[in-house]
Amino acid sequence: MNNFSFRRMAGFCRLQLCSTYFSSPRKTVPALVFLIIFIAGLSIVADEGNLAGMMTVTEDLMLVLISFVILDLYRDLTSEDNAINRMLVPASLMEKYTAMYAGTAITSAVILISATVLGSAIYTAAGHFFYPDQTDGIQLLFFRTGGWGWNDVLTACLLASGITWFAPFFRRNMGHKAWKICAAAIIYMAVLFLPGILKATGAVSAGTAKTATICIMAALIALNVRWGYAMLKNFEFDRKGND
Amino acid sequence: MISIENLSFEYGEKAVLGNISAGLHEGCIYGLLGANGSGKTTLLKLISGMLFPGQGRITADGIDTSAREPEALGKIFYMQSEFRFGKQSLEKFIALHRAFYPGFSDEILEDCLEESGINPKTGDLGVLSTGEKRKLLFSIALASGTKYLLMDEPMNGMDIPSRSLFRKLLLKHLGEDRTAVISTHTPAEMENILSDILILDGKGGLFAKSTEEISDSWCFGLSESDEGALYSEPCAGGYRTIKKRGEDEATGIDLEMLFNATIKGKLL
Repeated sequence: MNNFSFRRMAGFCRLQLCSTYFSSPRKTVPALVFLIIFIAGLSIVADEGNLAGMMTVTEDLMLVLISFVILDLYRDLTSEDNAINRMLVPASLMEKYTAMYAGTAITSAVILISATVLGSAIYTAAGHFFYPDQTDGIQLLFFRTGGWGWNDVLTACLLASGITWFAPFFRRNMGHKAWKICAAAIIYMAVLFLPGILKATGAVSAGTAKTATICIMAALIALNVRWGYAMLKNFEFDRKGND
Repeated sequence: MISIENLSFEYGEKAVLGNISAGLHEGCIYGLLGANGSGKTTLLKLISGMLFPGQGRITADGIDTSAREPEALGKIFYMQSEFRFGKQSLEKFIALHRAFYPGFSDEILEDCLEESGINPKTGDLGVLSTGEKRKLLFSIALASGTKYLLMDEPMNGMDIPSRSLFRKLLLKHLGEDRTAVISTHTPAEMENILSDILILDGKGGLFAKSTEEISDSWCFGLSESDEGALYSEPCAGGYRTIKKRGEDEATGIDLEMLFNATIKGKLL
């Protein structure tokens, strides 16, 4: 049996998505609409008076939302409660791991497309009625000057991939080994923000710092993916007190 | 065959299984007995690959189950003692899972559902009662076509007719090339269908014998005195005893007595 079959991976992705987000479109669609309106509303509260600022907050909050998607799919994958445990479904770990990313990508695409349509409509209306001096027509969420760029896509990938190792790492070390969590977080942040720190001290130029940051982010994404897989490979269902 | 070789496992400093070995053969129904906390669920999880052995290894037809490779996973169906079905229809649940089980049998599923009185058109599995959920998962396990069925207290929450149906369906659909391991706290309900007995003694050891071997070795009965008994328990009118069989006629197996004698180390 092949260790990686695209068909099995797609089947597992379908299994996860149809058991979670796409199990009931009648409930999922209103929930998504509500969530987007809520985030847009929250952004208006957070940055009142500046339309572009509000849109930036909305776009940033969408990043957080995508992170929750992969966290939720990871929880589903490693949950001990499913009638047929996902980890015991006959597919290889690589297929399940890839399916989780694929599921996140699909769900994120649905969220972002919905947010683009609905959010743009909300901000276009808001601009037309409340901030006519700040707008000259349609406001497009994400696809605008100052909207999402490659750095935001990289940040989304970094956050999503980071969760795949941080979630099990946190679970394994919370409590008496909490120092490990703090140490890992500090080291990780230090590496990530090193170019920025060097730039602030004047040791490197802004251009060099930007290039270095992109390189570090790409390397960390690769490390996250590899590390997340290793953590999943060693994942045990260790609910204590079983009979 | 599932082969358990020198298996040890511990939770932190608490040793649960200590260097146990056993072979689980095709066509057999194993009853897994043990006191609370003796490691029944742990053993089933280890066999299925949900936990990793501290020492030793477990293979299913030669494949290490802890590697969780699709080939090994496709041979094993583990029915947990606690589980939930999401809010989805039965048809959808089956459609989403069946692709992973090439030997899945619609005929067996239909038969089991019909016998269990579960509507194949059930729209929301989340609203089924505990007993119905167990009957449904058991039906799916039988229909999955996997060679090894591991069931952790599958009859918990089932009413009396359902327990009887469980035994009937298991015997009907298991077949000679499949193996079932059933963990239970009520061995008396299972004694007529078990071919082998596994008892975890709570000290890390495993007693593993076929019912034939047990019948050949010991006799179970009632007696006025406990003289010559390997193990006895007082009861109305005398003692329930386990004696070496010798030339005596074979008796039925009193699983409760066997279990009590084993965990007290009287049959070693």
